Order: sequence, then structure tokens, then C-alpha cells
Amino acid sequence: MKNFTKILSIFVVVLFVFSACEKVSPPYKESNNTEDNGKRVLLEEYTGHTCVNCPTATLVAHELKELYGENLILMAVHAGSFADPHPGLFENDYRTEAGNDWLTYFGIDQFPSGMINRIPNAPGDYLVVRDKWGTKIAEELAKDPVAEIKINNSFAGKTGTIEVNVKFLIELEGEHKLFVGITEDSIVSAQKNNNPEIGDDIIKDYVFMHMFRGAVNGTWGEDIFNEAVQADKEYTKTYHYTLTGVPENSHVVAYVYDTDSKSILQVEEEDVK
Amino acid sequence: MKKILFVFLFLSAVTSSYAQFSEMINKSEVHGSFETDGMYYHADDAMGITDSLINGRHFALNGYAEIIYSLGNFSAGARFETYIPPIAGFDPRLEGSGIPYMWASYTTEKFSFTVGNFYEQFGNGLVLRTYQEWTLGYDNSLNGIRVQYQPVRGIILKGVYGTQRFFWNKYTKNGRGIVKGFDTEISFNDLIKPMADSKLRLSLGGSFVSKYQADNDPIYKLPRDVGTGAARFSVGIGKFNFSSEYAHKINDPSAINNYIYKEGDAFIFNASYSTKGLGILAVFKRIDNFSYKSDRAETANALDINFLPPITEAHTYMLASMYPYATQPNGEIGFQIQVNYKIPRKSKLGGKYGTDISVNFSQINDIVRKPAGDTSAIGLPGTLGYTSDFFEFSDHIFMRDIQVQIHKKFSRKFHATATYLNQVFDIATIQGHTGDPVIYNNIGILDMTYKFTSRKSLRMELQGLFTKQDKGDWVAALLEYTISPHWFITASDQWNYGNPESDEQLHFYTVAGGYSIKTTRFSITYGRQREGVVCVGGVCRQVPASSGFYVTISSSF
Repeated sequence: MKNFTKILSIFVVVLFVFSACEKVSPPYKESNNTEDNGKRVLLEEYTGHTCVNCPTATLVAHELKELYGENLILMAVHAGSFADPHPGLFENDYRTEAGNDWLTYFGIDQFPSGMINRIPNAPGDYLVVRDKWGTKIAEELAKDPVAEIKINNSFAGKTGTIEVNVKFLIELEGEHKLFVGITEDSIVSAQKNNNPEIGDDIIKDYVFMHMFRGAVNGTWGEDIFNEAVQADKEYTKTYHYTLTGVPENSHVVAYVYDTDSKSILQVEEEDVK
Repeated sequence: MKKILFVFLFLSAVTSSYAQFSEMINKSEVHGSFETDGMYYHADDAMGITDSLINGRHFALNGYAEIIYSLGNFSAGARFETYIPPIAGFDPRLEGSGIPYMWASYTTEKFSFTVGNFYEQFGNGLVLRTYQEWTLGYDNSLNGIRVQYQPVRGIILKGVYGTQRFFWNKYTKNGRGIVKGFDTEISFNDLIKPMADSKLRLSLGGSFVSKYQADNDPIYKLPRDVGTGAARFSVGIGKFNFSSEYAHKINDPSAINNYIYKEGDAFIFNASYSTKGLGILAVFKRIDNFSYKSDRAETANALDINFLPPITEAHTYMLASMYPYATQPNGEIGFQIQVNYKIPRKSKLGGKYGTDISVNFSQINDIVRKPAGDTSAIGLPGTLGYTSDFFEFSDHIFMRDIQVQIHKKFSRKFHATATYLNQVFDIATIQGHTGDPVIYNNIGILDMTYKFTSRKSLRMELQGLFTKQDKGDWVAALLEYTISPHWFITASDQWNYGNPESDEQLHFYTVAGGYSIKTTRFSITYGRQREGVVCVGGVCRQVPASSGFYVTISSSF
């Protein structure tokens, strides 16, 4: 009996040892075929031009954008001390009032940080580290959409109108808001960096993409309905707006969210021109 | 009659229970400890600390209280912690209060079983070390089961299974990983009777640890089970001791190593010689891609399953500890040689009481990396990363530390220690100051103590740090008056007189006092804390500049 127990124990240990290793064979990247079920996800990246780790995070964001295409919408919010302007190479001020408000509200104190549809990990904890963006985005995209958003823009030069139509697909409890903002691509100026694969310690001609440039209807948007949402109910709002940047590089980003939890239910992006 | 019998039986039962309860109480033991560290911050314009920066958070508090109960073979304990809010420099995710550490254990001569939170180390910690370091705010305890069995004298078997502490976050499915491990240690001097009194001391050990974490990453195929194995030995022959441990890890792509699929290695070798008046220590260490965390996405000081021992001298003097080394888990190779010699008493050089001389040389370089294939650049994510020859040193020095220290007792009342250090410190790699040049410095320290009486003594330190890089030259002085065994009072100043920016040539002064009785200690400090880094065992945290009061109360029972 003693011998049997010893042999069994050794067997269990050996089994444990050999079952606890998974060696991955190349190719090491997933071959993804993502289906478009209409669900869109917003990745908000909090960044700044003196944040040395931020270019690497932006690279990850762009890799995910390449993977998910229009299902993933990026917004780079410049806020916090790493976005402060400094005389010389870093004199540009890319901060916005809404970005500063969100930084404070969501307690963003680590850079780079991201939020995925502003879904909290735990009460009051919204931040998602760079290396979990992919996992969180995949989880969100797997959910069915609860709304459709259509954006129509009509601009002559920097001035024009933005029409946003929101159609809910199911009944929803609680209050909801609509937020509309502007992002801009291809802004060139200096960025600090610590990733040699990306460039030098200071990249003087860094190309900023998806930079959040301001809110069209306020930091927290506006109420959609004064009552619970019903299926197939539509809401249309039109804004007159003047851009600060280049219209050809600008996009309108609109999302609806739950007023209490701040979680984004659906998001959409449309080129200004 | 029945009633009398009932009352008699009831009283007997109560008396018997009370007697048993009393006996249990008498055999029980209760131990505990607590510590409270409080900070009051105020604005200091010269240091750039404004009221808006403090933002109303003038107070901070880190505190814990631990209690352990034991009765015979059974013991149990819990630790309450509070960080409301955490002192500046501690991870803000610590904010909160609760009981993050709770356990119960049953231990006999051969067998030990623990449930709840526990700390454990296999060998040198290369594959598993869970521990708590209060000064760092670091705690990676396992929450699960620990079993230890000694089938015969000289053989110890250990098994662990659980999840690690991550601040106040509870374990959730598909969150951080599950850790399991097994360790065996054989001490031949205990196992083989004829070897019990042998001059040869021999022990062997082996470990295996594995972590499981789900893979929901859309970009990379990530291994869910990552295993590490280690083998170690320790041999003592007379005055010589040799010990070594080698560990290997299978593919573990993570945020720390930029998602490469290279396997990892860690190796450490110690040799020492010790005799009266002379001690020699030599250490060689090599780390190659050996970060091992139970959450592959974590980059902060948290969720480390293993521990990579440092081989640098742990400095305690103010200026000598200005540039502490942090272990580089992605790769480092280095060595340390230390010689301690006591010049005999009553010799010409040694003087009446003898003189202690200590020389230490530590150097750590990067490893050499070569492309793993024809087309991949070194370290690209989603590739094997690189190859590396085992004994090759890169020209890139992370840190070099040469220390010569002489300690001499001149009389019954007076003794002094003189220390010289020469340091090379790659601040860009070690502290992430991208673009900053390597620091070369020389440090001189004189530490003198004069005893007025057997209870009263005065200690003075004079220090100077000289460098052309970073913040330039520093001088420091400290005076400490002690009335043994209870009181001490200290005043110190560090002056950055060589700072290239004239308005940053600041004094960082502090005044402190304290009282201790038996196991209870109280201290209060007022002054300025310069920005810096605190490291314990190669694990570091940033300390921001601050100004204000600092109070510590600690005790144990």
C-alpha cells in the first residue's frame, strides 16, 4: 500500500509537471477573421508629447485599428503633465477643456493609459493598461450593438453642420447622453520616445493621429431623452461648428453612453470631408 | 430528584467546559505587531511643491496591524492594512483599507498545511518567491494552499497552489493567473547518518512552478501555461562554501519583454571563504528574459512570481544610496567580489583594537543579443526575439560600484568609519531617464561616533558626492545624539550645491527625534525629502520630493 501511494504520488507530480507547459509554435500572431456585427468600440488613449512610453502605446493602438478597421475608433486625448507645453520643441498646447475634465473625473494618473468604452474594471477604476487593450476590445466587440449612430457632415472650409442620428435597437433603462467631438490626424510636432524601434529619444516630426481637438456639445454631451429608451426610437441633433484644425484631416466622433455608469453603448466616426 | 440530577449534570458540564476552556486559554499564544506611518505635506515653493500640486491632500497614512494566534499545532493570523491615502511614492492602487492577509495552519514535525495567504520561497527565489516589503508597498503573497511534508529527516517536499495578491483586487476568472509549484530539498548531512558530523556539507534542490492565464489577446497566440524549472546545490567544505542555482523558463511573451517568444534563463553562483579575520565572497549572476509575472500585461512592481537577487552592495548612507540599482529582468550579467579583512589587534597597522577593511567590487552589464533569424530585428514582438551567448558581456555597463571601507576603533570612546565609493550608473536604462547621460561619481564618507558615557553618544557623518552629470555635486552632514536605550535626536542636511541650475541648489534638511521602549518605537521627522528611488533587494519605487512632517509608531507583542 505504501509503495502504491508513493508511485501514485510520483505519477501525479510528473503529470502535473508535463501538463503545466504550453509551447507555442510559429506563427505567433493570430489569423483573425473578425465579423462585423455593427458593434463599435472606442479606445481613448491618454497621452502627452513628453510621455516617453506613449509612442509605443500608440503603436499598439494603431495595430489594433489595423486589425479591427472601422469597428475600432481611436481618440488620443492629450492631458495631464505630460501634455504641458514647454518653450521650444514642445511649445504646442494640445490639451482641451473636455480632456482635462475627463482626466480629473476618471482619475487618470498613469501614462500611457486607456479606456475601452469607459467600462470600469471595478467601481471607480476605469484605466486599462496598454497590454490589455486588445483583450478588452475583443470582449466589447463580441457584444451585440444596442444602438446605431449615423453622422452626416456638411462643411465649407472650416465651418459647417454636423447631423447625428441615434437609433436604439432595444429598450434601455436609465438616462443616456450623446457626446459629439472632433479628432484630427496628421499633426506634426515633437514627441519624446524611449522605443528605438520607433525613433530617437525626441522625434521632432512625430505624426499625431486621432488627436482629440475638442467637444462639440460640451464635456459630458447632452441628454438624449427625458424618459427610458424604447426600441427603434430615434434621436437626431444638428450642430453648427467651426473647426480649429485642417478639415481634410478631421473626423467627427459621436457616442451614446449611460449617464450613471458613463459606459459607452455605441460609437461612430465620420470624416469631416 | 430528577431536577437535582439534571442541575448536578449541568453544573458538571459547565465546570468541565470552563476548565477545558481555561486550559486552552493558558496554552494559547497571541502575538502581533503594528506600524503606522503618517505624513503631513505642506507647500514648499523652492522645491516646486505648490498648494495646487498637493490639491488638498495634506495628510497620508500607511498602517498595518497583524495578529497571530497559536494553540499547539494550530495557528492562524490576519493582517489589517490601511492606506488612506497612501504616502507619496506608493502605488495609488494601494488606497483603501481591509484585511488582505489571512491564514490558518496546522503543523506537525513532519507535515504542515496552510490555507489562506502565505509567503514561500523556493531556493534563491529564481522561480518562486512571495514576500512582503513594507517600505516598498510590495506584497505578492499567494492566496491558496501550501503543503509541506518531510517524509524522512533530510528531505523536504513543498507544494503551493493559488493566486497572487494584486492590491485590493479580488481574483476574477480570466483575470490574473493561477500559480502552482513544487519544490524538493535534500540535505545529505541530515539524511545520511554518517554524514551528520562530516566536514562536507551538501544539499541539493529542485523546483517546478507553472502559471496559468487565459489568452483572449486578439493579436498574439499567448501560451496559457508557462512553466519554469530550477535546480540548485550547496556545498560546504571546511571554510569554503559554494552554492548555485540555474532556472529555465519556456516561452512567456509579456509586456515586460515586448511579447517575444524566447525562452528565459537565470543563473547565480556564490563562492565564499571565511576564517577568523578574513572573509571573501564572489558572486556571478546572469539573467536572460526572466521576468515571471502571473499577469503578462502587468509592468509595475506587482504580481512577480519570482525574485531575481541583486548582487550590488546595499548602501545606507544618504549620498551613497542616491543611485540604487534595480535588477533588469530582460537581461543582465554581472559579478561581485567582496573582501573583508580585520588587521589584528595590537599590530602596527591594526592598533590597539584592530582595524576592519572591506573592499567591494560589483559590476553589471547588459547581455549581448543577436538576431534570432535572418529577417527579424532584435526584440521584435511576435518573434523569438534574439539569441544570446551565455558568458558574453556587452560593453553596455548598467552599474559599477567600487567601495573601500575602513573601520577603526581608536579608543573605548571613539570609533570611525571612512568610506570611498566610485560609481558608474546608467540612469537612462535603470530609472527610465531617457536621453540622460551615464553618471560617473566619486563619494567620500566619514562616520564618527564618540561615547560620552556608556549610555550617551554622539555620531557625526560627513559626506560628499562629486559628479559632472545629473544634478551635480552634493555634500551632506548628519548629527545624531543617542541616550541609550530610549532616546535619539538627529539633524541632517543634504545640499545640492553643484546643481547646474542655481535656483535648484537646495538644502534638504531634516530634524528627527524618537523614543523606543522594549519593542515599541515612536519617531517624528520634519523637513524636506528629495526626489529619489528606494530599493530593497533590487526592487524599487520612486519617491517624489516632499516637505512636511513624518511620524512613525511601531510595536510588537
